[in-house]
Amino acid sequence: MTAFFRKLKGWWRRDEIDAELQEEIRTHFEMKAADLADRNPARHAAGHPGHGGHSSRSALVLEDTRSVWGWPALEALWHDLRYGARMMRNAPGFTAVAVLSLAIGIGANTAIFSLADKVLIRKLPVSAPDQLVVVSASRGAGVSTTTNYPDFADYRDKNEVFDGLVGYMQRAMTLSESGRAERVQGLIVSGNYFSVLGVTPAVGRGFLPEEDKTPATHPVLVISHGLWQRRFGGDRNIIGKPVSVNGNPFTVVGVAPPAFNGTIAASAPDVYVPVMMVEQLSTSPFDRTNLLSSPRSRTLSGWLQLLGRVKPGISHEQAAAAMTTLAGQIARAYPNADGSPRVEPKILVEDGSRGHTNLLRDIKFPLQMLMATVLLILVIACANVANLLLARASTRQKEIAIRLATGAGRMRLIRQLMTESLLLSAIGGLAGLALAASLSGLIVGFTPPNNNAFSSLTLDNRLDTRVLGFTLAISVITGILFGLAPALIATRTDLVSALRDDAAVFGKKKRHFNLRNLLVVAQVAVSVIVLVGAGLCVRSLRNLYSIDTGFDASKVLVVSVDVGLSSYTRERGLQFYADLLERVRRLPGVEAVSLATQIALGDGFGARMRGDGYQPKPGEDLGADFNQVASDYFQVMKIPLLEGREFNESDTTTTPAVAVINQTAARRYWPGQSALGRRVILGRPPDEQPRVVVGVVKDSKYRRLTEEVRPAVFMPFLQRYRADMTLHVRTSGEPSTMLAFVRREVQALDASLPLYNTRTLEDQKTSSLYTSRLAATLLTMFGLLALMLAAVGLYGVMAYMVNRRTHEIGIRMALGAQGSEVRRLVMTEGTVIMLIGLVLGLIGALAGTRLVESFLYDVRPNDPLTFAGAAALLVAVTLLANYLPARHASRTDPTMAIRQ
Amino acid sequence: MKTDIPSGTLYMLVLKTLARLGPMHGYGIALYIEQTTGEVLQVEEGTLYPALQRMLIKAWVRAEWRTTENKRRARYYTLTPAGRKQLAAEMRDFDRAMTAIRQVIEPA
Repeated sequence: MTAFFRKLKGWWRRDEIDAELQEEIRTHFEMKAADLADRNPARHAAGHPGHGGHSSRSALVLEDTRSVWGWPALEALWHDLRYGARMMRNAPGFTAVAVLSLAIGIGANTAIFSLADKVLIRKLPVSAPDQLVVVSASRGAGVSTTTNYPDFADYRDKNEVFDGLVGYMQRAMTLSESGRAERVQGLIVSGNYFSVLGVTPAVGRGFLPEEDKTPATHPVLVISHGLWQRRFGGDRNIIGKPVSVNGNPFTVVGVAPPAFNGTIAASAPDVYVPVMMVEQLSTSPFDRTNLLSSPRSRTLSGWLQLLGRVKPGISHEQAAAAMTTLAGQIARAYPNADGSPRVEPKILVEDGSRGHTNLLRDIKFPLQMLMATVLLILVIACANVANLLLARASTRQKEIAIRLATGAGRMRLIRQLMTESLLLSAIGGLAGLALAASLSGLIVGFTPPNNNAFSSLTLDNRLDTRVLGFTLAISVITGILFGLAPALIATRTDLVSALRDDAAVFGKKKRHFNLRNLLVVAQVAVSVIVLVGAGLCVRSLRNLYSIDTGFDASKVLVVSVDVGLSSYTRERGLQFYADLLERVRRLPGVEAVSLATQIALGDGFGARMRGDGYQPKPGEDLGADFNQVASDYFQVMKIPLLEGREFNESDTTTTPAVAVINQTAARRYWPGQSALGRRVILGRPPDEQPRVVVGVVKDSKYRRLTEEVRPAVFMPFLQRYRADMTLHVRTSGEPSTMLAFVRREVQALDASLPLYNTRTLEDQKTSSLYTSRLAATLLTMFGLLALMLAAVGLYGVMAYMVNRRTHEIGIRMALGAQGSEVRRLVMTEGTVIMLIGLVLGLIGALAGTRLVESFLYDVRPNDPLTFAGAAALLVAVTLLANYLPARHASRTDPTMAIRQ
Repeated sequence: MKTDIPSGTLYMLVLKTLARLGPMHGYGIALYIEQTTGEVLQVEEGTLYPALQRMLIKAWVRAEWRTTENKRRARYYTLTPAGRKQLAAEMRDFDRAMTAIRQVIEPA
């Protein structure tokens, strides 16, 4: 047992130790007195003068001895905390404003951090994530950077730069078990996925080498920890359980560890399936035979995303160069079916420690912007509390001076004041956590629902230990930040003048005043910057909303169905959709109904298209937006038909292949002429496919509101079948109320089919703007909070100043100054502070908003209206904050004030 | 004339006293040191008792309540093996320091 633990044990029996010490020391003095009496009985009898002193001596000795068992630092801290709590109770107004300021500052930071941590900061929970790289194959602008399976297999086996290369594809699947079907996110992964990442399943195993060799022979899967808990109640007998995925029997062999959510950021797969089973899971008949080993599989466009683990000592550049060489050799070794050369991709190698982050592309910038903003808010909050503490320090000057005069060390006092600051920030931090939790919920509410069948942005807003650690750290830092300067200043008090209780008059305490005014100037400036930023984002959002989409989004319900999940043949699928259209069309309240593969303002789909006879310039982008639609699609969408006709029931596989193109395509390929009857060529050799143009429609927005419209081509569903389609229903009433009826019709046809992407087109439009909405809403909120904090700061400073100068103001009034003059005197001082802050803030905003230019739509970063609006709002609020103390000052009763 | 105990030597003096006398109470220790040094060294209670408590915490001594010859209850301290080791170490250090000091202050 060490001395430390003996001492710790002593704390529990401190009363006993105390009693023993008392007795021991008393005995000591008694023995000493007895000895003295023996030696000098005469003096003792006369009453030894020292005798009476024994009790006070022994008390002193006892005190010193007892302290050996004490914990002086802890006891002082406890004392400081209790003292601090008492001070806070005695000034409830101050405490409330300070805690609220801190809660806002800390809460905003915690909420944004908890998101940023998961989105931008945290690495994959795999072994050595820093070795991971995203490997992509660049084949020119606008072309997918994914890789087909045979090429991937060659990259994996023949490269010399990776300790492992994995490939995967995200895909929605239908999982059924015990007769219950649900649509889940799946990740189709190469068999080496778990072993290369170094992820050990929580239960069961990962995939075995033989499960990665031959197509269709090993129907096994690993499920996520989340699905295991949610669907199977964490049953440990899950291993070996038969389930059905897209209608095929599979066996569960493992459960992924709880922290592991795949390697695509912001998405969370529920099941992991070996790539050898990909053809069975496909819902497209073509893909069922052509993904893995047919001769076509190598010349198809890619579908696997690659993640590699670089060998130690190999740089990203070396890996990229080696892989580009290898990819070139493979492309040359396997030309296209007609003998034409394949494109030799340039292989790019980038940091993959966070996995694939494409889904975060849109949210990254607004998040960084919000991070900067919440830091500014925290600065304002700190300035506020520092200001309040400075004000309080001057009211406590007498108390502090007395303590200094009675011998308290300056360090001891600073420690006391810092303890109070940290106590404040701790309470503020706790309140901030509560605020952060609700703010996080708000943020996640902005993110789009599953944007299409294949990808979904899943933002995790739980407050975990990392976030709690962050909050703790930020609370301590802010406590020191706002507490230190006031503590230093307060304890530098000139004892004599403080004890004399001087009233502050002009020129006195100039230094304190300057720091306090400076803090308010900074607060005003920062809130101007945040307000301008918010204003710009709001204007940008309004502009985005007013963009003409080219279609009518109101009163359209979309609902997706995938009959491939029930393994329908093409014929059965066509029949199903024909029946469904017929049933839905007959529902009351339905005006028109159609089908499409792409939902407008969704992810979109690109194809290569040119007009027949058009000679593209080298490197010319022939990309076009592409959609397969049923009859009446343009009527449902209210996209005007400019020429020709829509598709109808007679456009089938036995009639000529037809297409409808948009205005941009018609103008590009047949400028000044009618496009009707001309041919468009889709795809690239050898799979080119001519189609006759039967209609031209007005341009509309296909993928995003801000896109430059490019050529678009529509094909009739009856000629180009797909198993997964989205029903588009135009209603006469509120479209969302139609969902239940549509669901009933789908289930009447096939009860096992899950519906997905169920939303209105209006919702689709709104959620496509989620980053702008997120930024505009949060920035506005933060801007108003900043303004409020700055107003409180200004009010505090002015009210304090008026209070300190009551005496002086009283004299002025006694000498004949009018209330209005006093008001002006106070207002002028506050207005000067406000104006300096405003000007500095506008300059700062002018410099700062240039950084967000790329995020703004149709608003210049120096938009005068926004700047003027922010300035006006600030002036209005600060004038009010200034007016209240000024009015108070003007109502000073001179006789009372002078007597003070 | 009375002298304060040279700093750093109190532990050694107390430990040595206990080594000589066996179990002894605080007053006895103080008395012994004063009498042995012809009352040159004065042991203050305010120094002795904190030192004894520290030595208890460090387990150099053990304490138990016993009755004195005069039928008083007093706390007796006993040297522990750790205390004995500490005493040896302190005496070694003290000797070395004294030798060094002598070399400085005595003419060669």
